[in-house]
Amino acid sequence: MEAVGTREQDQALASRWAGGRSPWDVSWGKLMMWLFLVSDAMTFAGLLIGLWAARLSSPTWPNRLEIMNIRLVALMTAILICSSTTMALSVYAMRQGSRRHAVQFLIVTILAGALFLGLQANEWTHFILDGARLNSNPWGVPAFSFTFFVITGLHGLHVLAGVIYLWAMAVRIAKGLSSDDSLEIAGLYWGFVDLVWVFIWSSIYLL
Amino acid sequence: MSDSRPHPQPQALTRAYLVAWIVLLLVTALEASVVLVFSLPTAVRVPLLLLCALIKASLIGAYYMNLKFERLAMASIALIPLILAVLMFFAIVPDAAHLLRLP
Repeated sequence: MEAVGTREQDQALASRWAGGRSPWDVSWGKLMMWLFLVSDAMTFAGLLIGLWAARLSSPTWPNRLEIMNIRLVALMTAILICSSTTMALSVYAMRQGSRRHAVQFLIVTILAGALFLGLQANEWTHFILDGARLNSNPWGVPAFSFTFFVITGLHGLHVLAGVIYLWAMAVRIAKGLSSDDSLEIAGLYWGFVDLVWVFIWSSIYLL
Repeated sequence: MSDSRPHPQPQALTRAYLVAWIVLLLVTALEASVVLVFSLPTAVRVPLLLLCALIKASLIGAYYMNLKFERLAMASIALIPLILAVLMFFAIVPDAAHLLRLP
């Protein structure tokens, strides 16, 4: 019995984390990115639930169709979806050993992210010119503009961080310094940015 | 999802990405049309938009965040925030809505 126990212990110590069989079977970098994304998802969930609490406790809520350019935001949503696809294709190209294609798809993803940010800046400008401020607005529901600025602003910062992150990855891949695993981890972040936008687009603009 | 999920062939994977891309764009177009073109009653519009959001989130998670090809345990990690968010929603929002009915 003792010999079997020792063998099991040896097997456990020889495993990836020296603590037994890895339950998730992913690299530590990927797992850490997932843990970050889970905590970040909770931040956005808290903000969106705050939006709904403010909205449902308010007797009125401004009509977004009269204030916001939904067509423009639909275009922004489509751009983000396209960028997620090119990101996935970049990871796929890297896995197939084609660094050149991986960098090309990454550059398209970065451009799409930058375009999204530009359109968001345009939307913010119109909203501010219409009189919207963080704590007041002409439609008489301060929580409306507050939640808009905080939630879309935090998401925009994530897109900006993603553009910088992907730019660094593109440079590193072009120089042969990063692996396909590192690119996949960056792809997880970019997918998350798109995933969060699904709920922001629904909660702020559509519902 | 199972623990011994085989990785798909490269061609099947590219096709899956492209199908997910087209479905995501179509669902987004449907969402925008529901608000801009059709004047549906709230009882239809809200569940429809929520369903669209869930379809899109599932596709992004499954294909663009690779959860379809990971172990079930990994997908469980990703589900934690969703479960906690739903709990938080039902803990907070009914109270907020109740404020409207107070004298």
